[in-house]
Amino acid sequence: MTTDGPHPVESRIAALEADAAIRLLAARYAVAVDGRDLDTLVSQFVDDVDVGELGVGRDALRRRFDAELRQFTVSFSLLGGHSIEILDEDHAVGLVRCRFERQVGEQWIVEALELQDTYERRDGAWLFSSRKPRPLYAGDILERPTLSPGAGR
Amino acid sequence: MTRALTVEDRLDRLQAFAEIRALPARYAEAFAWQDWAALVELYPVDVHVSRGVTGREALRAAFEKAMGIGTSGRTVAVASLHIGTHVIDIDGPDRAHGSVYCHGEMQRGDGSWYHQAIQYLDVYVRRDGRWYFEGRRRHELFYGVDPGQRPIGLPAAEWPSNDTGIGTAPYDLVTWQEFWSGEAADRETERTR
Repeated sequence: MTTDGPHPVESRIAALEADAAIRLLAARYAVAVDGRDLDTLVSQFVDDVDVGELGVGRDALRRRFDAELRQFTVSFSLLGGHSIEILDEDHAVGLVRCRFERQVGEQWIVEALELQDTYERRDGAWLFSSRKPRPLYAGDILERPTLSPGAGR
Repeated sequence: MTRALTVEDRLDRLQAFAEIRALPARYAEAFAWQDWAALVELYPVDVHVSRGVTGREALRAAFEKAMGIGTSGRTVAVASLHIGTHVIDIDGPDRAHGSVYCHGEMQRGDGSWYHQAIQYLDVYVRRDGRWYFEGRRRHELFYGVDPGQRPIGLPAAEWPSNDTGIGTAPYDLVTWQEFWSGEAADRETERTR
């Protein structure tokens, strides 16, 4: 490793690689949700991911996705702004904006949300350690959307 | 994995991501301003257009034909392509593929509008140090609708025959079919229990 100042070339390249990998992680997640690709979805999380009441790990996460992704049929997850903050060589946090459209019965719900992410690098691969959705609004495409509780604060 | 790569390899890869990310953005810019000269620059000089037809001039003609330019039936007057959700997979030093989502707002020649949810499936190639779209992008349609219409219960669009209607995405995906067929099977099991 070179030692040319406080940010050696090695760590600068690693930070750029982290940024690129994390951007792709979010995009792959969105496409996997819309394609109901559970294998890809769970493989994008750390293997000891905390799934709350359902437990810990990818099997528990799969059960959660399997239940959640049956709440709507077709979906289209258009991502926009993604800000990433690299905390150290193995940890980062980020915010992703998503315009999430989905069919729920006879309704076509459009939701604007933010995903609050934490990322970890394990064995050289950047993964999600957590994702928390924070909706701004959601509503049928033909209605004026309802502001989500806590949105805009 | 990255340990086996040299610094040069890693910079190449980073440059690939940066350049490839710019391609669909430039494609959208070209469509916004109908700048077909700029559009065909995003493809290699010997781009395959159709059977036995190659080159940027031929590609330009193909785009203009698709847009109805030079005919009385101009099909697209305005195309605002809002892109997002870009997945890139590097296959080798000079080759990659990817998927780009797009919410397109288009105005037809007659003044009416339609909106489409699109997934472009791309192949990217590097020639003489620059990344290009290898050829025509695959346009997978989720749906096309008139503004103020729900994309539910519409006839099949059979894109590019119709600009509105229900598309083949995500229905054609194996993962999507398996997810829902599993549910059908579970229901069957429940019922026969």
